[in-house]
Amino acid sequence: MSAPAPGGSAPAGSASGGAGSGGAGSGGAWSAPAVLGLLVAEFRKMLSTAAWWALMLPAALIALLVTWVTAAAAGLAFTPSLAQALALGSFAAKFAVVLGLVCATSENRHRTLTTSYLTAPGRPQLLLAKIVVGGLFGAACAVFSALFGLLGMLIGGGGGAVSGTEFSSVLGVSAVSVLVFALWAVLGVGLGTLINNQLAAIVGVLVYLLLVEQIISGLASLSNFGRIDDYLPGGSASASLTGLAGSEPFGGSFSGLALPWWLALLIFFGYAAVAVLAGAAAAQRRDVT
Amino acid sequence: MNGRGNNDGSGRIVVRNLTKRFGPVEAVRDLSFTVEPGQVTGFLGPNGAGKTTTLRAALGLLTPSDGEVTVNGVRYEQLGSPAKVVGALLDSNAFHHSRRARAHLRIYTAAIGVPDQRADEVLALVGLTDAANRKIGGFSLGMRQRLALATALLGDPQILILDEPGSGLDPEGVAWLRGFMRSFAGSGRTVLVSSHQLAEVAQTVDQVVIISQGARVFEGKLDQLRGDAQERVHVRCSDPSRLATALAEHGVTDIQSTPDDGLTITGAASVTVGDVALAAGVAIYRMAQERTDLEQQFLQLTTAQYQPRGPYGQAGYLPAPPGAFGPPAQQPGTYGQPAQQSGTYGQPAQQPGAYGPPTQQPGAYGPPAQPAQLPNQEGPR
Repeated sequence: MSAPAPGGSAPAGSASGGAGSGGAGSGGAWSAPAVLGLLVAEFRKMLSTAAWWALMLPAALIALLVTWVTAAAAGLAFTPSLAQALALGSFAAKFAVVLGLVCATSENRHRTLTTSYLTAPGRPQLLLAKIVVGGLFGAACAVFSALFGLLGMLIGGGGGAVSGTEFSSVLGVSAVSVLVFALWAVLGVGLGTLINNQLAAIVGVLVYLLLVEQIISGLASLSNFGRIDDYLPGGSASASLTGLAGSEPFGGSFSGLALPWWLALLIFFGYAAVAVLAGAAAAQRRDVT
Repeated sequence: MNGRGNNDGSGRIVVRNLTKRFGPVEAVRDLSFTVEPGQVTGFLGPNGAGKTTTLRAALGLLTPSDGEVTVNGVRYEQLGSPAKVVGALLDSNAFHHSRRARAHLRIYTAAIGVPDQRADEVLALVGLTDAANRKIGGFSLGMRQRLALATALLGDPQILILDEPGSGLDPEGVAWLRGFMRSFAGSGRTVLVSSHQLAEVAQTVDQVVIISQGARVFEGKLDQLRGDAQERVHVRCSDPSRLATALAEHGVTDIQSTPDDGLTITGAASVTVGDVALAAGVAIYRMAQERTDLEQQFLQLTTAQYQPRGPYGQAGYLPAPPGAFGPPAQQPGTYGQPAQQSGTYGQPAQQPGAYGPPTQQPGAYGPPAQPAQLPNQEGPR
């Protein structure tokens, strides 16, 4: 810090006027290089902290544990695909939504949001980049969890999981879980942008998923609404996996299913979209102080 | 590469009738001023005067309740590639502490769209090359301030906005920063730097905007502010009332008596006072010349903030000095050169006194800008 010389390169001063391409922000602001740059920036944000592996690792391990236990306790007559669906949908998926929440809220927590807004052509572009990168990390989380889930089944003595028709059904569940996890992460990004406070967002979402939603569906099943699990956010995500495990092509059955897997997935997609839109609307208006 | 569309590339920041309310609190009130390229503009005011709110509104981080701020003729959101036009240091603690310095910068090289080696360039520029691979959590406040400046410079911007950049820097760092701002502006670019201490920026700025309670109280050259300050002579003599009369005959009318049987004469040089006293046959026992310095001027302009508020908005329209917006009408040479200021209020301004109402002002001396006092009523008590 000794030489008072500004800028490592030529002064931008007079040379800058109107030299740009695109008009009035909108053209350049959504240009491919601008959005691509934000995507790279978001990747670097994720990879330069420990959050991504600190969430993926436990997700994979819990998937392994669940399939291992279910395979070992084969007396419960869980098909391998159903064990995989439970391990991924009911356990590992929670880490994907937290991953998305962290992706969005850490900017607020560490006050880097100001810098991120100042270096982005606009707030929607930044959110888009977060959604894409969050979704991709969510998908990666699913891949790891599915692999570890398979591993757990093999360890637990469920060798049948990797042979014949069962294997294809396990693969089917695993493949759809990639989409479900990505949507979970996207939903997390949307909610994280909406709620902003990291602790509140994570605790709030987990309390909802683990407690509130169970209470709601429990109360509904006692009333004359009947079973509404599959229409709720957590329930629809789980149903798109268990429904797949239980539906026709793969054989087996899972009692009380209300919706086909693809419809449950579509409903869950709707929840993720609503979360993103709510987050976008909040971010656009919010003052960053 | 910097401009987009109707971005005029002027490097000018225009704040036009900016008002920002947070609930019932009016942080900025109908504020207007212009920041020109090629010079360093100081943006001054006490803590809570609305400086940061104004800067954040300029950067599109806050939505104004009324009015607007344009940069290069457009709003910040319309700049397209904003960080190549404006670099901003707002918060010296806006880092993820577990990131390393270079990793932090490379996030934003990607976002801005500049080559990754620019990260190392700015690290070298602020003297953090050795700390490039260290986690930011272990940085001192001064190092974080430098890293924040490095982040602001990534896009090689045309305009630099710095909010209290001196905090946390050691004296060497402050000196460096001054030189940096000067040469940045010297290359035709724009610098807007905020501070709650006039002393911190007095040596650096060409132009100052002073706000208090969210409203502008002064805009102009520092010399102009200095020019408004009057010279005062404090005299103890054998016959104060005769001296006062004699001075009044010489057209010096702003005279006040002091508790120690002396006189305080505003608007006359000590030489004049001495000559008049000699001619009037008054013996001078002691004579001291003093000047209302810049700091006092500054305090006077902004002090209203700490006094009970009367009718809403009164304070904001307080003492905008006459001619504040005209060409600088200062008397060059008569009043202190900038070099003198460093000694005058390098350190003392940091004391609590700088924030409180100036204790010495109201009693002994009237505000310098005040019109003439009646001369002849003065007398020994």
